[in-house]
Amino acid sequence: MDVFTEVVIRIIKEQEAIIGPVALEQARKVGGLKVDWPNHKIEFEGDKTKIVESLIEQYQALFGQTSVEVCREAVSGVIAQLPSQQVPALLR
Amino acid sequence: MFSYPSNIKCRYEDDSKMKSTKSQNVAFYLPIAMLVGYLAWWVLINYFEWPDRDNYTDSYSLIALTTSVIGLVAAKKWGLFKSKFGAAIGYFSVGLFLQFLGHLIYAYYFRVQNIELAYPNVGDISFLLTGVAYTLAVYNLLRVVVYKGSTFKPRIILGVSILLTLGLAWLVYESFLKLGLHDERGFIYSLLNFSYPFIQAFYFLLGVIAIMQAKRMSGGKMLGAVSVMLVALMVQYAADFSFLYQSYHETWVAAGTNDLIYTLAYGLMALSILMIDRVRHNVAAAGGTQ
Repeated sequence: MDVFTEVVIRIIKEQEAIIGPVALEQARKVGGLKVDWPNHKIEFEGDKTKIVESLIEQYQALFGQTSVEVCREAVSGVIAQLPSQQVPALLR
Repeated sequence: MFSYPSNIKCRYEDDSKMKSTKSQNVAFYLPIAMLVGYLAWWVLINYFEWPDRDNYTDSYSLIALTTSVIGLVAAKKWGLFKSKFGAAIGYFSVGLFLQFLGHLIYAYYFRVQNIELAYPNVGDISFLLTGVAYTLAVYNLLRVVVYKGSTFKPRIILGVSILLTLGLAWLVYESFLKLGLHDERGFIYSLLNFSYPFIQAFYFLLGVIAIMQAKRMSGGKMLGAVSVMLVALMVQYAADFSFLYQSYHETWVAAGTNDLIYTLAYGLMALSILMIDRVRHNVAAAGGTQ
């Protein structure tokens, strides 16, 4: 599985455990991100780094820095697989 | 069989959905309107010698009932008990319903059985379980505010928590518990006298930690709503504390300061749930990021 896909799935899953269905609602608002959650299928249209950054910002708007920490923890196991320039700023 | 063309059916569904959302929105303001009414009533009773003290005392828990209902509606939108934030709102709502139930049972003993203070009775189970529900609510809220293993980070939070717990235990003991631990009426009384402040201490302590950690949510739209919820919890603790204090010192009166603090606690809880729902509504209505 593509690393960015894995990152998005992990973030949404972790946020879903905290804010329930609102997590998916917020993810579906991110431009360039198509989420087929029942099948865990993610499609990107555009710069993947920016799209993931936007996804985190959606959650950040709700619970601030806490939401960013949750996202960081969620992807800690996979983010190292990305070249440093592709890592979204909020996850660094 | 007749059926609407799909586009018309869809419009009707949208209309009914809109009406249901509108009625929900109105319902969210109901406990706030009740709070304003009860505050005015309290002022009239205490400063303009209006009658009906007993009616006030036996009915203001309706704010808790309506808040518990809208709380469960709000919690459902956050996944209810399947998510941490949904569970936090859900347990607060359950706690408020238990408060209403406790008040209702005490009112029954007073109105129907003509017993002024039927202590203990089955209503006390409801009041005690309120403390458990609130503890579970704040525990879940803490799991939203702080992430794995960082509850006591920075370390000063652990120190302040321990100091506050010890200070609270001393204050409770000196204020009234020393009178209640050796209740002449028997062991069940002593046990109940101890159980109330013991259970309440848990939600107070977790609430204090959550207040200290709430700044982690800075920059988030939910900070204000969660802060009001935590303040409501502290006011609820103040109400429980003052009830026990006034009961032990035989200074409690119907529609007095204690009932005012309870009214404020329920009203603030209603306000926080309204704020949470408004944030969710605004976020749902807002466009996405590009």
